[in-house]
Amino acid sequence: MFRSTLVMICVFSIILGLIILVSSGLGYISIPPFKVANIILSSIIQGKQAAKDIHSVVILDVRLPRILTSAIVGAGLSLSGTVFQGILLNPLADPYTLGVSAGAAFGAAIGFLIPFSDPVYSVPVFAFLGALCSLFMVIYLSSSDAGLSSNHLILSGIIVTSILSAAISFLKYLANEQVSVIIFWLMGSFVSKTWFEVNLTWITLCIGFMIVFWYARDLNLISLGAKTAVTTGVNTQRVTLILLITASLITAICVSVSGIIGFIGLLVPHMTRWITGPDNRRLIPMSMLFGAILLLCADTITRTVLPHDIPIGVFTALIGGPVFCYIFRQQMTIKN
Amino acid sequence: MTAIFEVQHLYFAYSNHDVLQNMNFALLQGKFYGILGPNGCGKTTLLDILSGYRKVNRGDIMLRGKNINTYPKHELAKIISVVAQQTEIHFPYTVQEIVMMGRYPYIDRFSQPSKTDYDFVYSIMEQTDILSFAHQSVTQLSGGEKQRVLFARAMAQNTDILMLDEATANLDIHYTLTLLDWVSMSRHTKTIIAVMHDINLAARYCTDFLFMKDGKLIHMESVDEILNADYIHEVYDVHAKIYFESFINAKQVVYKR
Repeated sequence: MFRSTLVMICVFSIILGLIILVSSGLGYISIPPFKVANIILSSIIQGKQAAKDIHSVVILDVRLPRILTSAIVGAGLSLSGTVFQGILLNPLADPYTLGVSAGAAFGAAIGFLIPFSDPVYSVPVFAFLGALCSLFMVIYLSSSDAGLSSNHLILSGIIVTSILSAAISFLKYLANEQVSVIIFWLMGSFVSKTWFEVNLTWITLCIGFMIVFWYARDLNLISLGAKTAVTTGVNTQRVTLILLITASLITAICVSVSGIIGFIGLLVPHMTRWITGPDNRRLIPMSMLFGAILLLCADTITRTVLPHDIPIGVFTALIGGPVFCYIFRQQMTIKN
Repeated sequence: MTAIFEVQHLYFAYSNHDVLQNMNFALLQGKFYGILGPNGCGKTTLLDILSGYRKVNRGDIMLRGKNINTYPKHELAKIISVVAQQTEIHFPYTVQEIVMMGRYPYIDRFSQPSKTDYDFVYSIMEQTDILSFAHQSVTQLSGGEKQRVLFARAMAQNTDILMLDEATANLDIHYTLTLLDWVSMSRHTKTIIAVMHDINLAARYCTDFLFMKDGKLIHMESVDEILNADYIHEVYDVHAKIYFESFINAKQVVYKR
């Protein structure tokens, strides 16, 4: 069982690598995958001394940062989606259930409107702060003597989200000519990402993954209910809080880098569960890989195939929504 | 017989109302205790405290001579296992995966279960008659089947103390009896503490009763002595007649208001 998981992880890692190679070659200037591999390898070996022809500039400075960011964000959203579904005991939860997206959106809107600041920096910083504030607001609202219950968390998430949505509408109303910038940001995009974003998301993802994977087995027990989990040796209170904060931070970083990208965090863990089963020790690494592959492919399609660079968040929702409807319906018919 | 639990001056309150007040008792090894009392008297809260799920506000709970708070959770999991009241499981774990979760306290975080673990889980599933659907998903099982799986999971924990929180509440008569037969058969190695509603069922299986009312322990005696009309009237406010039923070889109770 464990060996087959390892094999699957290796196979899909290789597939992901190949997709990165191929998609780096696609675009306005098309470059064969062999040359792409050559450029990447020589830049790794020779560092900055590598010859800078037009192809290597396109690959290394333009396409690769965007491609890697989209893959990492895909993995990050899937990771936190898996965690939220596990903690909230709800296969339909997603990284945005606890109001993280609304908080980020509100923060980003403020970031755009603040005078005398460069939106390039102020937007991600404020988006991150907004996500954090809304998260702690939700945790504060739902904590009681008996600890955090999943129903309270979901309900608090809905409350905070709806308040913030109203606040965002108000900010849009105030924004006048900048309203289109805000709207565009909210729809998510990987356009003009740099190596800074790659590093930021990569470090977050690695740390987040290590924390979550450490508690993966405890997450299995939590799905049997708090009492059973505690009496089987899990400190449910502490594990829930650590995982909640970890997953929310991953989401907050992803959102502040890419805007709001829906359905990945909901759909990917859900579909991966069919292949790996619900055991989180298999589910978590596999759904990260699938998420990376899926979001990278989606971004590549918007970048190369579609006539306009449409916002990735709109694309994933337009494709993911109907797919999810189909899956949901299928499962209902199987159950009956 | 040695005391496995010693409880002294136990008090427990949720934020603003008292639930348990000044409880003092000792539980002995190898017995089958039934905790009984009217709705809302604090039975389940008491079990939550004994199992380490909740911490008391005041008082001491000594488990094998040591304060229960000094045990790390993963050590406690090797001493006490719990079958909770109806559990909703939202993820499609297979029956075998669920039962194997009972072995987690004995397996390292990132290790695979050993052959011994698999054999143990297999024999438990055989005993509890769930082997035939071992590879089915729990989300597809009926309530009664699922409860047996959760019971098997607790058995797989292989602990000296087994606690049941109305564990048979949603089982039919056949599986209620089968499950309680298994439980009382394991009594030579285990101490059993069960919250129960059905006095007659408890009278067949328990050795001792704890009668609770309004957060207080009112009577605690062996089943033979505790089953009398006065006590039952005191606890439940009903009139009762107690008789010996030779068909099942146990005392039984009939009541009227």
